[in-house]
Amino acid sequence: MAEIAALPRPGPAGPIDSPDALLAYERSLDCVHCGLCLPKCPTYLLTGREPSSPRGRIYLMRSWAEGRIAASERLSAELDFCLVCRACETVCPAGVRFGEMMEHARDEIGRARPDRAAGGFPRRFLLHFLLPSRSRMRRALALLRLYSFPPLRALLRPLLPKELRRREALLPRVPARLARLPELTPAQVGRRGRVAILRGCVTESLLPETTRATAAVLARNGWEVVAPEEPPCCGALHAHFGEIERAQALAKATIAAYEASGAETMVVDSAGCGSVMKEYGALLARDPAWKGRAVYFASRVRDVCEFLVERGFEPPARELRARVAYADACHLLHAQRVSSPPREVLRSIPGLTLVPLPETELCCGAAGIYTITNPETSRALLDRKVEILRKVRPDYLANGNPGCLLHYAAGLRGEGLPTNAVHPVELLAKAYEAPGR
Amino acid sequence: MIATGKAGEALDRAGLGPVREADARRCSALGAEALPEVAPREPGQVAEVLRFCAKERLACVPVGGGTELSFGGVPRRVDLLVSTSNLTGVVEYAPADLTATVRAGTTLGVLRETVSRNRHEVPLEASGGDWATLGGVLAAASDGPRRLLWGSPREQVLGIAVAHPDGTIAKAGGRVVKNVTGYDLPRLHAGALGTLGVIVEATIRLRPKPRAARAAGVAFHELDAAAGFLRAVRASPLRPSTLDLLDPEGAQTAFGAEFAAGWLFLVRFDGEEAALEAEGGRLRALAAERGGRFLPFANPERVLLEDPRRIAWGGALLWLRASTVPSMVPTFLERIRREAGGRPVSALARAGIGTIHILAGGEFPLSEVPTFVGAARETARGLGASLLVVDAPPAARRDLPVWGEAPGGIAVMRRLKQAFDPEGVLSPGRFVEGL
Amino acid sequence: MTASPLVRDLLRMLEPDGVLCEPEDLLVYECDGLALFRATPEAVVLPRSTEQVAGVVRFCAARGVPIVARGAGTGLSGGATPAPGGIVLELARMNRILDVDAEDRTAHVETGLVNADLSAAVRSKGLFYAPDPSSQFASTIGGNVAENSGGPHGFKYGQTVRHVLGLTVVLNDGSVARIGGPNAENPGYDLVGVFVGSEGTFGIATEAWLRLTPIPPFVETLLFSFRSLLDGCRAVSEMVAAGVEAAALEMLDDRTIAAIEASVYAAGYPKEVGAVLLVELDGTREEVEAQAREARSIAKRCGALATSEAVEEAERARLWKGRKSAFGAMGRIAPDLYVQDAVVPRSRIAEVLAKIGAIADRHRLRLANVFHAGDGNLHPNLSYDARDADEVRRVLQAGEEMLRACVEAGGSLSGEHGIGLEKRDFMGLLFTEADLEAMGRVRRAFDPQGVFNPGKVLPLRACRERVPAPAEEPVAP
Repeated sequence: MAEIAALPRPGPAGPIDSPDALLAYERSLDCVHCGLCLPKCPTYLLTGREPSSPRGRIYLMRSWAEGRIAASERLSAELDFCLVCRACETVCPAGVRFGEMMEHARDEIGRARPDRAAGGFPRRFLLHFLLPSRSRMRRALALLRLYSFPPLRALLRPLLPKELRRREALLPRVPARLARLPELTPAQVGRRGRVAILRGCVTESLLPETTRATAAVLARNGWEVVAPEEPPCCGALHAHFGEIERAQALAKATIAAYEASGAETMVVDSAGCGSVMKEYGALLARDPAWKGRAVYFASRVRDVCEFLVERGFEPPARELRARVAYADACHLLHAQRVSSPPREVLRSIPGLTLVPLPETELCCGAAGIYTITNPETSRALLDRKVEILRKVRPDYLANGNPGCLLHYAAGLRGEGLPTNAVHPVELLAKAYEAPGR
Repeated sequence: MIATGKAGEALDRAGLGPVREADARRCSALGAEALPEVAPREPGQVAEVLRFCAKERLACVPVGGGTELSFGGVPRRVDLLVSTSNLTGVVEYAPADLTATVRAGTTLGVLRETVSRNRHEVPLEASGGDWATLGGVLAAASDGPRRLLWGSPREQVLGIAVAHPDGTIAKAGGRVVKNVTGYDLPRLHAGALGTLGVIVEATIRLRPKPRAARAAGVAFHELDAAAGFLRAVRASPLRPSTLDLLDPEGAQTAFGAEFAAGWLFLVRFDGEEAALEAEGGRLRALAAERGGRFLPFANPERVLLEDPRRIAWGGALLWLRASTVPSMVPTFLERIRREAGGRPVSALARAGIGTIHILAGGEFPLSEVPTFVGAARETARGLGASLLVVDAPPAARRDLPVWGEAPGGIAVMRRLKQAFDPEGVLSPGRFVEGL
Repeated sequence: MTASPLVRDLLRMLEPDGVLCEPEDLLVYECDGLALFRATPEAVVLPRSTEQVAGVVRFCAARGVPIVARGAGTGLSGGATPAPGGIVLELARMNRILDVDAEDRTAHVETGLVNADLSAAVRSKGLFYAPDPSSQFASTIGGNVAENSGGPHGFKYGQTVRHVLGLTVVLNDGSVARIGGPNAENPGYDLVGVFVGSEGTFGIATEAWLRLTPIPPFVETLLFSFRSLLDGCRAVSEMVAAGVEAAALEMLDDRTIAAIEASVYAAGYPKEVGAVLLVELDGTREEVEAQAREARSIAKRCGALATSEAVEEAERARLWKGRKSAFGAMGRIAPDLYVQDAVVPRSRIAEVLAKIGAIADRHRLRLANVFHAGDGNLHPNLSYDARDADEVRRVLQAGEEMLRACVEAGGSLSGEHGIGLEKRDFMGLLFTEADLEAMGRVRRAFDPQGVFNPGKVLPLRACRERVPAPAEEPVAP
C-alpha cells in the first residue's frame, strides 16, 4: 500500500500577484484546521460537505494560492456558494479574518474568470448599473412599484418562465409612496451634535419607514441629522462579491460626502453597509492618499443601536404591547460583534416582550445579492427561519439589516404569517409616538 | 499416582506439573467426577500449559477462587483445570497514581487489605467477596451493590496481560488511568469467562476511600409505592452509591424479622460527612412523602449485599440474573413474583443499574426448574431484558438455555473465538452460542 | 468531468449530491485536524441512512476499495486521513436524534450528530452528554466513538466508552449488527467496549445508544494561578491523593494563556503567571463546598498566587470555552500546530514536563503546554510553519522524543487523540510483537479483508495476514 508521508506545504505560487491577495494568503495560514467553524456555517449545515465549510473554503483558497488547483469553475462556484455571513469568524479561536480573505479571493479569481461569476446578468446589472447611480436605482424601483400593483402583477406573473416565477416570489414589494427624507432633520430637543446617516441605495425606497425612524429617533434624542444625496451606495455589495475596484471608488465617494457633511459620527441603520464602512481602512489600505482618511472615517462609524446605547437615549414613557423576536443580522453580530445594543433598545420599550428565537446566529439567506446568485440555498435558509417563526409567532421580527428585513418579509408574506419584519429603531420610534404623550 | 487421568500424566511428562486432583466441588460445578488441576507459578507457565493443551487437544477451564465456576454453560468437555492460585501478589502498588498491578490469582481480600493502609479502596465486588480472585472477577465481569458509584467492573481495568493457546502472552492497555493506545482488549477479556485466553495480570484503578458513609433501609408494603419511590430517587439530585431493592422474601431472608413484610430498599451514600447529613435528610423526606418506613443502619457496611445468594432461603438451588433498564425493574419483579406462584423464589434488584438477581431456594422443586427458567426467559424477552442462568445444578444446567438468544454481532464473536482459540480448548461450550 | 466507473457505481447507491468527485472537492478531504499527513481519496460519499452505508460498504469490500469513515474531521492523529485509492465516507448528514428516554437517561442517535448538539437537546430534561472533547462543538458522536474521546470532564465522568451503551455497526461484508444496548449487561463478548476506540478500523457505527448524565445540582469552578507549572503540578498531585473528587483538573501554561486571551474566547485568565489550574467541582452544594475548602488549602500550601471562583453558568462557560479553544488559538503563534497527546502516571507529571521542555529547546521549537492534569494526560503543543521543511523535520523528531520520555516514565502514547497514522509506528515502544498480534487478530475478526481505514493504528507488520495492499488493486471492475 502506498504510504502516507508527513509532507511540508509548498509556499505561495503563480496566481497571486497583488499584495492584498498575498496578505490574504498569509491570513489563511492562521487557520490550524481545528474545525470549530463547521457547525456554525449555514452552507455546511445544509450540505454536510467539507468544501462548503469555512475550513474547506480556506483550504481551497490556500491551495489555489499555492498553485495546487486552478481558478476553475468548481472553485469559483464554491466561493460564490458562501454567504459571507462570517459566522465562522465569531467562533474562530485563531481569529481568521474570513470575510476579508473571501473578498480578495473572489476578486482575484473573478479576474481570472471574468464571465463565470454566479448570478450572471442580474448580478452584473445590479452591481454595475443600478447601485452606482441613485437616479437609475430610483427609476428601477419605480418600475418595480408599478409591477407591484396587484392587477398588473396578476396579469404579468403567469407569463414569466417557471424559474423566474419562483424568484419573483422573493421580489420586494415597493411601498406606494416613495418618501424622500429631507437633507437635514433638526434636533428635536437640546442639540447634542450633528450626525450623518446613509440615505441608502435601496432602504430609501424599499424601507422608507426604517430611514425615517432612524432620523426621527436620532432627532428625538438631540441629534441633528444630515442625509447627503450622494453617494448612491457605500460599496458593501461590491466588496462582498469581490469587485474590489468598484467598492473602492464608492468608498471614496462615501468618505468625501461624510467629510463634507460636518457630522461627528456616521450612524448606520444597515448592518451590511456598517460592516463594510467599518472596514474601509483595510479596503483602502494600499491607497496612500486615502488610507488615513479611511481609517479615521471607519472609526467614526456606528450602528444606530450601538450609537444610541453608547451615547445614551431616552427610554420611551409609553407602552408598546407586543411580542418581539430579535434576529441577529450576520453583519451586525459576526462582522461588527454588535449583539446586545439592539436588544437593549428593545428592552427599553415598556410593554414589549422580547421572546427568545432559536438559531438567531444563523444566516437567513439574504446575504446581499445571494438571493440572486444562489436562489435555492437562500430559499432553504429562509424556509428554516420561517419554520421557527411559525412556532414562535411573534408580532414583530426585529432585525438590523435591510436585506434581511426584505428577505424575512418575503418569507413571512409567502407563508401568510402575521409577523411584521421591522428594524428595532422603528419600534423605538413607534413607542415614542405612542398616543397619550 | 493420583487420579489425574491421561491429561495430568501428559502434563507431568512435559514438565508442566505438578498436577493435583481438583477439589470435588469444582469438579461437580463443571459436571465432572474428578479432574486434574495444574497451578502454574509464572505467567509464562500458564502460556506453556495452554500451548500444550492446544497441541494435545485437551480442553481446559481456567479457575481462580472457583466462586463463579458454575457461571455459563456446562463445558462440552473438560480435561484439565488451570488454576491461578499460585499466580499471586501485588506487582506494583502506586498510591500516588491510585493504581495497582496485580497477578490474577490475588484475592480481593488481599488486595483490599493491601490498599487500605493508604485509605484507598478497590472498586470491585463479587459474589465470592474476599475469596474471589482479581482474574476471576474480571473474567466474569462480576459486580455488586456499589457499581452505581464506581461504574462497571470493565471501567476499573487499565491494563491486562493474557496467556493464549498459541503460547504467547499479550498485553494491552497500560498502567495509566487514561489511555487509548491500541485496541481496548481489557474490555474484550472482561466478561469473556476466559474463553479467549487466561488473564494472568491486570492493572486496576483504585479510589480514595470516602471519608464517611451512611446507609438506610426504606420499606414499602406495596410494590407500586416502591416503584414510585425508585422513580423519585432517580429523578432527584440524590447520588446514592447503592440503590438495591429486595422483595419481601429476600428482605426477610437477608435481614430477618426486623424488615419483615415489605419491599426493602437498601440505600447507601459515600462522601463528605456534611454532605451525607443533607443527603440522608433528603432521602428521609422522599421516603416519608411516599409512605415508606425509614430504617437507618448503624453500620453502613451491612447494606452491602455483595453475594446475592444471601437472599435465598435454605441455600440457592437456582440463580438467574436478568439485565434491563432501571425503569423496568419494578415491572420485572412483579412478573417474576407472579411466575414464582408461592414457590420459594426471592429477588434482589440492583435497581439503580437494572440488574436483577432471582434466586430459587433449596426447597424449590428440582423438576420445575426448566419450566420456571423458560417462563422467566419469556418474561425477560417481553420486557426487552436479557436473562442468564448463573447457577443451577449441573444436571439441570446441561439442558437449560443458559445464555438465551444469540446476541448481536455473534458472527464477529465466533471469529474472535476462532482467532484466539482455533483448537477450541478454552472452556469449550461455556460461553454464548456454545463458544 | 467524466465520472470514473467507481463514481458511476456509487452514484447508483446515493443521491446525485451524495457523491463528490471533482478534484477541488477531493482536495479538502485530504487531511483531518492533523494536516501533516495528506492523501487524496478517489471519491467522497455522503450517505443519509444505515442502508446506504451498508450498500457502499458491500460494494467497496467486494472490490477491495478501502473506506475511511469521517465525522467532522477534527481528529488530531490522522485517523480520517484517506487511504490511497479509497473513498471517504462522510457521516455528517446522518445527524438525527432518534429518541431520548429521560427516565432511563439514554439517547438513541445517528452518529453524524455533533457532540454538543446532544447536550443542548437534552438540557431541558436536566441531562447532558458527559464526554466533552475540546472539539465538542464540531466533532461528531461517530468520531468520538472511533477515538474514544476524552475531554476535561473525563477525569470524573470517564471517556466516551463509558457512555456508549450500544451501537448499530456496518461490518465488512455490508451486514448490519446491533451490538450492546441500553440494558446494563449484554450477553457475549463486550463488542461495544472494544469497538469504541478502534479508530474506524473495525466497521462503521451508524447509530448509538448513549448514556445521559443528570446535570449536577451545584457546580463551582476554581481558578488558581501559580508561579510555575511545577507548583501547579504539585497541587494537582496532592488534590488527587487527598481524594478531591474534581469533575475536571486542567492546567494551562503562560504561552497558552496568552494565545487564548488574544482570541475571541478571552476568558479573563490572569496574565503574567506561570500557570493556571482550573478545578471544577460538582455535586450537592455541601459536597462541593467541602471539596472546595480542601482544594483551596492544598493550592495555598503549594504556592498558589491567587484564587478566584465561578459559580454562575455563563462565567464558568467562559472559563471552559477559553480552555477548549486553546488548540485553535495557537494559530496566532505560528501557521501550523502539532498537538502531542501522551499520558504519564500522575505522580510523574512535573518530571516529564521538564524533559519535554528540554526537548523543545534542543530542537529550537516553541512549546506551549495545556493538559488534563488530573489524569496525567499531557498536550505539549509545538508551533511551526509547514512551509519550512527543516522545521517540519524537527517537529516530528521532537514529537517522537517526547513520546519516548512519556513511555520511559511508565506512560502511554495517547490519552484521547488515538494512534491513527501519526503514532502507528511508535506502537513498538509500548507493545511487543505478541501484543500487536493479539490486536491484529481482533481487527481481522471484525474486518478480515482490511477494508476499513487500512494503514492506521497497527504497524503494517502486524497486519500481515490481510489481503494485498488496496492501492495495488483495481479500483473498480
